[in-house]
This record gives sequence, structure tokens and C-alpha cells, in this order.
Amino acid sequence: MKTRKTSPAQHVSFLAHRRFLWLKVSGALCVLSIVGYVSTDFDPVRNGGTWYGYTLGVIGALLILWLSLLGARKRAITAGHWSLKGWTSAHVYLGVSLIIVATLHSGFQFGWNVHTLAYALMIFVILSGIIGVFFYVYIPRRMSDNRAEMGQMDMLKDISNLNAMLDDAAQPLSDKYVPIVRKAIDKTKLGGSIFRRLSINDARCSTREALTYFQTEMRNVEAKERSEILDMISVLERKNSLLLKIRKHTRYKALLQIWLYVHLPVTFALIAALIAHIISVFYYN
Amino acid sequence: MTSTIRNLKRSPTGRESIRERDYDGSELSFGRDIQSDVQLQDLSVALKHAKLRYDETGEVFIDISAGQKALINNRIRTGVVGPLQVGTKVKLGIYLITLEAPTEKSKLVAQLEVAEDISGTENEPDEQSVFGLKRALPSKRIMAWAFAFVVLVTCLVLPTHINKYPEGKVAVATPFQADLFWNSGPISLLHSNLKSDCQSCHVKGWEAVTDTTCLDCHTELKDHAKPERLQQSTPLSTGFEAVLGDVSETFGRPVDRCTSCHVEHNGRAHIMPSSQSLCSDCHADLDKALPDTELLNAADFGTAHPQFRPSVITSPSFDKPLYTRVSLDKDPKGVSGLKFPHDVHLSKTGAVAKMASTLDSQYEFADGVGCLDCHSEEAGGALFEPVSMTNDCAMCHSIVFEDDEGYPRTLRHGEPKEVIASMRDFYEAKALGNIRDAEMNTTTRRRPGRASQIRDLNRRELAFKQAENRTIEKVEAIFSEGGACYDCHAIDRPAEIATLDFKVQPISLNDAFYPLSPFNHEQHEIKGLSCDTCHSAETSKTSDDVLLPKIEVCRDCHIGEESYREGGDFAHGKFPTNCLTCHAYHDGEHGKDNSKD
Repeated sequence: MKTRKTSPAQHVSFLAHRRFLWLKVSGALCVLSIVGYVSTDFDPVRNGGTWYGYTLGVIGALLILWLSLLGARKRAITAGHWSLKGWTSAHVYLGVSLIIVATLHSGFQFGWNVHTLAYALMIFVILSGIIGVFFYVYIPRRMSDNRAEMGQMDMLKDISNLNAMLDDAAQPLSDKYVPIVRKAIDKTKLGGSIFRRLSINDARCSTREALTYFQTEMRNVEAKERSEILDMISVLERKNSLLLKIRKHTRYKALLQIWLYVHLPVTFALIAALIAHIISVFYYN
Repeated sequence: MTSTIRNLKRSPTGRESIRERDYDGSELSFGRDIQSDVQLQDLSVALKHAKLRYDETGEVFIDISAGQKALINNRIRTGVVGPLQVGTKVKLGIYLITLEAPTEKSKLVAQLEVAEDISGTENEPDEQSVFGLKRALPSKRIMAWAFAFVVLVTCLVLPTHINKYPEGKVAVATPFQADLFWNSGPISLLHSNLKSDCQSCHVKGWEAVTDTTCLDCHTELKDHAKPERLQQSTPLSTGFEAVLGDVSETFGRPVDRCTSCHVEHNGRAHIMPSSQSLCSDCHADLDKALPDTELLNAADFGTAHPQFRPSVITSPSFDKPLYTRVSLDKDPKGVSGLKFPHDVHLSKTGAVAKMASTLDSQYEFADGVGCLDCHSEEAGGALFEPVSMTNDCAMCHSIVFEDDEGYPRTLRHGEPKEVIASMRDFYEAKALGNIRDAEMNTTTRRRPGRASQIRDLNRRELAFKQAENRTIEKVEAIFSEGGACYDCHAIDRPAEIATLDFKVQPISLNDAFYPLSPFNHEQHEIKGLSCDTCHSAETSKTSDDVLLPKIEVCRDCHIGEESYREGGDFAHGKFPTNCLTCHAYHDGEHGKDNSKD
């Protein structure tokens, strides 16, 4: 049996793009920055105001501006060396290298000022980005395992169908059971607040409540109604497991997006702080 | 007896179809129950919800089950309602029942239709709202612009505005000092009074701090050298340095300003630059840039510093001694005009030590005379007070010339003419006293007459003659070998002793061998170091000896910053020093002759 060759079409993660080219580039940038920092001596101290500090500052500022262009870049899809994947790979690794470049630029001088504000915002953006990368690596496989080829619309349709089945199954039931089933149908909450999405806690899920109720009720139900209740329970179980799947899916979807709700707005704040940082340095020259 | 239900259905296209069904009996039961005459498949309908019936008179009633409700002609009703008119609309859940006119076969005819859309598609959640975050969180775009706006306003617009209009409404209304946001780091301790007053240094926006601003406060700074000499001796920056200078100028930061060296906002890091290269860049090869300079080339203290050249007195004078800088390698002599053998004074066995032991209780000479018995430290401890006769010598070197009946008569030191006058006064006064005592003597009464007058005159002349002789004798004695003055001073004797024109040769004590690089003694008061570690006074036989240590002595402990950094055996156990340890920068022109005025 021949060994299977890697076909060009096989998926390569953006992290491993072109055999970790950008990891190497940003690693080299970090090493160069550190070597330069250690080997140049400044009187009285190393900081952003020395020629080396300004050099790192210019590199850092240009990097930040370029990194922030990813948002615009990703709307234009191209291929080749500067494909979106290559761009993303560079974005991630060069972004992380900013931690070294900017910290050395600061010369470890921090304070309650606009300069450290820009630094802190930058660190915040990078950390949120790292979390985003982690989610992008960690989640998609789990998400696909969870939904098992099922589309989002399929899930919602299935919920509708199951609700209809609940409705049908409830028709012959005693009046006292009806509100419980109706609640299970009407009060099925999908999505909701961000906290709700992130915690897949279903303690207050009406379907689950109904299921538990009927499971308990089975003990003292009259024999003639037993088979109807059993039917009800089986539908409720199906709906309950589908809801769990949907909630997991919702959580994964939320995690894949939520970091961007930090990453992007804080990037804008960072660019604003960066502008203030640069202008103030030359204003109070 | 028959009752009829006409079941009306509408197709999506609006086409109506009616299916009739007859029931036996005068009642029609409605409910979810499969046993009902008319089963209503709606969970808001009870199992057995209501019954329509007609009585003997043909009136139609509706019996609504206990606990249930029905909407009859748009009114909520319970219990038994009736009689109902033809056309009455009864709503049960999603179903609408309309009472119709009786027919021949049925007294109770009702039309049944579904009145509400039950497809439920409208209530189905859409994909985006369930799985997207757009509705769960504020818009990214709005947050982004809002954050950027807040940062720009507080950190850029506000400080700039207040800087331009410090008395304006915005400045007054702002409860904090906005431009402190721009502070790039804590200001040095020396300038801490300015820490909240950015504009005391940053006078104009976009303009680098000027020298004029610094010199507004620092009014006493002297030039390091004449500007043209300074420029001539400063190596032109080349290559990378030159590029840096050009870039700096381009961004409005001229080089060679006060702040080029004195960099602020670095917190604890000292505002005074102290690196060796700051000096050695120019001074290492100064003779090349300034061939006529008197200064010797100097760089690293350990390897490239010339021998010390103290200013020694080559010609003492009471008012203007002549100082000359001479290298210690040339074994210079400093002529003070004073006789002072250090060895005699510091000997533990000689006459001085013996005398000291007799005065121990009075002056605390513990074990002979020590350095600090005569040399007293200045208040700061860095240097020593000039030695003074009264404070430092007189305890042993008495200048009493006569012990007058237990009352010692002391001469005024430092004033030879007054000394002679005082002595003459003393002996003449003694003569006068003798004459007076003789005249008052009652045992030898004088005879009146001229003879006695002549005798009195002769006696006075004799007495003053004797007093003058005594004065000459005593004055000569103190200015001659064994006399109080001669011990320490060189004396010019007059050709004719009787003129008493004795002169003390000028003396000048050197109190600052290195006026621009004063040595700090206090910092060297550490275990293992004593005066004789550096000053070989115990073997010095003459006051002309310059008892200063050579550079080699200092190098036993101190080497320069560069050679220290290079390390190795040479640097082992040594302390790094830089130029500023001994020298200053803004203390005037070093190139000129440092002889004192």
C-alpha cells in the first residue's frame, strides 16, 4: 500500500501556514528586538525616548496599524502568498510579537498616563486575540461533533416539529397537564442574553421542567392515561436532547464571536490612545 | 332530534369547503376529548369544554363547564348562557362557532371554523437571533467608535485645549489636570516642585524645551569652556550619530541642548548623566582638537588619566602667593614659608610626644600628637579647616614672652610690629613703675633743690635706657634661635639690631590643592583606611613636602568605568568611578590657568 501523499487541497491551519513562516518571522523580530535592547546602552535609562526606543516605537505603531487592517482585508478574498489565510497567520504571530516590541519600547516604564494606557489597551487587544485564536483552534471540531451534520435551520425546524408533536401528544391529556405542556412549547427560550448563551445551564428550561414533571407523574398516573403520558415523555425527551445540542451550539457560536466584541472595539480605543500618545510626545516635546 | 355541525375550511387560496355532519340528540359537546361530539384540537380548550343544547321551546343555550370560559359575541362568559340568537359567535380556543338558523331536520345548526392562523411560522425564531450575537451584545461598531471617541477627547483634545486656553471655561470646569495624562514618567526629585506644572518647562506646544527655559532658574551655571573652544574640541558626529542628529532636528528636537544630557521624566534615574564617555569623547584626544590646550588628555581613570597636578605654592606671599600646577611625578615642593617637620610632631618617642603627655589632661593627646589634633575637619567633613596658630598650634607653642608675677603676657600672633611695640610698652611701663616706686619711698626723703631735680632726671633716663636695652634683648631673643617666633618662622634680621626691624618672611598655607576637584575625606572614612594610608606625613621632614597621594594610590581601589566593565584581574576588587566622581562640568573653564587670584 502506498503512503498517501498530502494533496495541495488538504487543509492547513492558518497557524501552520507556509510551514509556520510568520511564526519564524515574528520570532526573529522578537529576538532582534531583545538583542538590540540588551546590547545598546543608554544614559541614564533605556526608554521610549532613546533612538532605539523610537525605532521600536515606530515598528510597533506601524505593526498596530497594519494589524488593524485585517478587518478591511478580510472583506477582499484573494489567493496566493498574500491570501487571507497568509494574512491572518501574519496577523496572529506579528500581533503576539508586539508584546515584546512594545514592552521593550516602553523600557519597562509604566505609569498612570496615556502612554501606559495605549500599552494596556494593546495588551488587552492581544490577549483577546490569543483567546480568539484558542477558540478557533479548539471549538470548530467540537462544534461539528455536537451538531453532527445538522444545520442551524434544521435545528430550528426540528424544534418546531417537536413542538407540534407535543401539541398533538397533549390533546388527549387531562386538563391539569395541559399548562405544563403549553409552557414547554411556548416558553422554549433560545439565544437570549450573552450570559445565558455562555452558560448552557438549562435549570429553568420549561421543556426540562415538563420532562421531570411527567417522569415523576408516571408513578401516580392512572392506568388509562399511562400510554399517553409515555408518548408525551418520549417527545419531551427528544426535544430536551435537541435543546441541549442547540444550547451547546449557541455557546460555541458565542465563544467564536465574543472575543471579537472585545478585540475590535478595544483596537479602536488603542488606535485613539496611540494617536494621543504620539501627538502628546511631540506636543510636549 | 338532530343537531348539525357545518365544518368550514379555507384553502390557502381562499377557496371554502363545507362538510356537514349530523349528530343525534339535542346536544353538541365540544372539547379536546376524543369522546366529544366535536373534537377541538387546541390545548387552550379543555377536554370537556362546553355543550350547546336546545330545550323544548327550541331555545339554544350553551353550558360552559365549571372553571372554563368562552368568548360569546366578544364577551367572556362562564356557566350557562342563553338563549342564544341566530348568528351568535362562540369562540373556544382557536375555533369559532357561529349559531345558524335551524333547518328542517336540525334545530341546532352551528358552523365551525378555525379562526386563528395556527401555522406558527411567525413565532419561529430566526437563525440570526438564535445563533448570532448581534442582539445579545451592543454593536461592535458603536462600541468601537465610542471607545475611540472617549479616549481621544480625554487624552488628546482636552489636554490640548486646556494647554491653549489655560484660563478658559473648559480648563476651569475640568476637575483634574488633563495634561498630566501626558506625563511620560515621574519627574526627578530635584525638579519635584515642578511636577504638576508642565508648562514651566514645556512653554510652547510642539517646541522642544529650550536652554533659555532652563537658564531662567539656573542662573549661576558657568560655561564648561569658551563656546568656540568647545565646538572645536567636540568631535563631529559621523555616520549613525549624524543621522540620529538629523532625524532629531527634523522632529523639532535640536541636539546640544541642556535636555540632550539632562533627560527628565525618568523617575529615580538621575537627571545628571555620568557616563565616562560624556567626558572622554572630547578629552581622550583633546590635544588633537586643541593643540594649544594646557589640559592633558584624560579618559578612563584606571588606565588613561594623567598624574595628579596639584596647585602648589611656589612663592609664598602674605597677600598673593604664587600657585603652580606641578605633576606629583615631579616630586613638587610647596613653599609655605613655615617650619613644620611632620615627622617630629608625629613621632611617638620624641620631645613632642613627651610634651603632649604632659598636656594630655588639658588637650586629650592620647598617645602623642595625631593628625586630627592639629587638622580639624570642616563642618561637611569633606575637607579640613586651614591650620590656625591660635586653634591648632598654641596649645604647645606658647608665645608668652614674660611671666609677670604669675600673669603670663602673650604676644599677638601674626602682627610682628605690634609684637615689638607691645614688648617695648611692657618694659617701659615696668621702668616707669620702678621710678614711681622710688619716689614714693618715704624712708629716703628727698632734699629740696636743683641737685635733687637733676638726680631724678638722671634716674628716669637711666630707667628708660635700661627698658630700651631690655626690649632689644627680648625682641632679638624671640626672633632668634630658641625664640618663640623663630621656631616656626623664617626671620629677616635687621643689619642694625637696635632698629628692631625684624621681619617674618611671608607664609602661605595651601588650603586647596585641587580647587576644582575637591577631595571628599568623609566618604573615605571607612574601616582599614587612616590618614597615613594616603598621606606619608610620618616621614616628612619639611613643610615643603607635598603630602598628597599619587594617582597610583587612588588606583589601589578605584578604576574607571570602562576598565571596570572590561573586568579581569585589573578590575578585581576595585570600585568603578567616573569623571564626575571628582570633576564637575558646569564649574567654569577648565582650560585656563587655575592659579588663584
